[in-house]
Amino acid sequence: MDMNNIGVYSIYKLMQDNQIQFSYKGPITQDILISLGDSIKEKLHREDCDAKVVRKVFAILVEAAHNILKYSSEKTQLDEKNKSAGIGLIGISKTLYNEFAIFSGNLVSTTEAEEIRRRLEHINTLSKDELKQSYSTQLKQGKLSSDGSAGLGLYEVARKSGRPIEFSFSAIDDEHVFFELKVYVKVED
Amino acid sequence: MEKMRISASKYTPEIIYDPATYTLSIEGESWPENAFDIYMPLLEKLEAYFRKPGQSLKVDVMLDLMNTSSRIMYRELINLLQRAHDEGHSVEMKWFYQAGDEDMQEDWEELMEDCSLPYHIVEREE
Repeated sequence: MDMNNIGVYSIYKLMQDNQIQFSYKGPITQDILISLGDSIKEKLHREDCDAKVVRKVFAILVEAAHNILKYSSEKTQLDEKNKSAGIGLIGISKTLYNEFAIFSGNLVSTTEAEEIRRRLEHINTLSKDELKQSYSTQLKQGKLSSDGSAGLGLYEVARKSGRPIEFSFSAIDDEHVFFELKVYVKVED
Repeated sequence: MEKMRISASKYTPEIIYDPATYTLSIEGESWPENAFDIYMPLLEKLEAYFRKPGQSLKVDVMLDLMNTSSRIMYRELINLLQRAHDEGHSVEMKWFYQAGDEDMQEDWEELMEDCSLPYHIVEREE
């Protein structure tokens, strides 16, 4: 692609029109999350956002980012100890309905996409109480895993949001699907 | 029994475990990508500590943020302490949360559901 054709203004306008507070695309690492976390917290505090809402937004962002870090099928090798990090996109925007939308997108394999879809469809059928029940049952039964999340992250996200998780999948090629996730949190609790 | 002291990072809490004073205190944020690595050494030390009969331990935990991976490890910590309590050790727990942080208050209440060991959930004023 010709460098001169990068439409910086189109990126600017897209972010402006959609009230995107920030967005990052690249390898997701803890270091990236620390700096994103600091700047989001600072920005939201400056806008007099309720500390409780800021914590909620960041907690959801962390779960979404960790999903990419661990499960994105697009990975990059980091220097230290041959560790790899998943590549994806995360961000926060404001909706017309006075909500924050925490969004993420990354490539997953076609088979994983089915598994994720099944899980999310199930989560979205659960009431608040069922979600709580299902979550704590899984937590109690949860085997100690060195992977560390045991598929509970999406339950956590749904509970924090309090409204259905929006998601979609678009086929990229025979093996890969782009997985999009949107989670909403009310600006005022 | 040796003391254990791990400094806080931006996403892991300070952990101070001191068998000489019968205390374990944890304070900070907890959102590592893999909490297993952070908490497993502590759990192993506690397992060893409770092998001797009649031990006592006071546990204070103050967290600002807890991700799913950490929650799984706190569930393990609670299970371990509940077992110790059932075996006759003296265990006392205090869970702190920041003033107004109802999410964290609920998190602790849920984690302690069905537990019979003595505990308090305490709101910490700014």
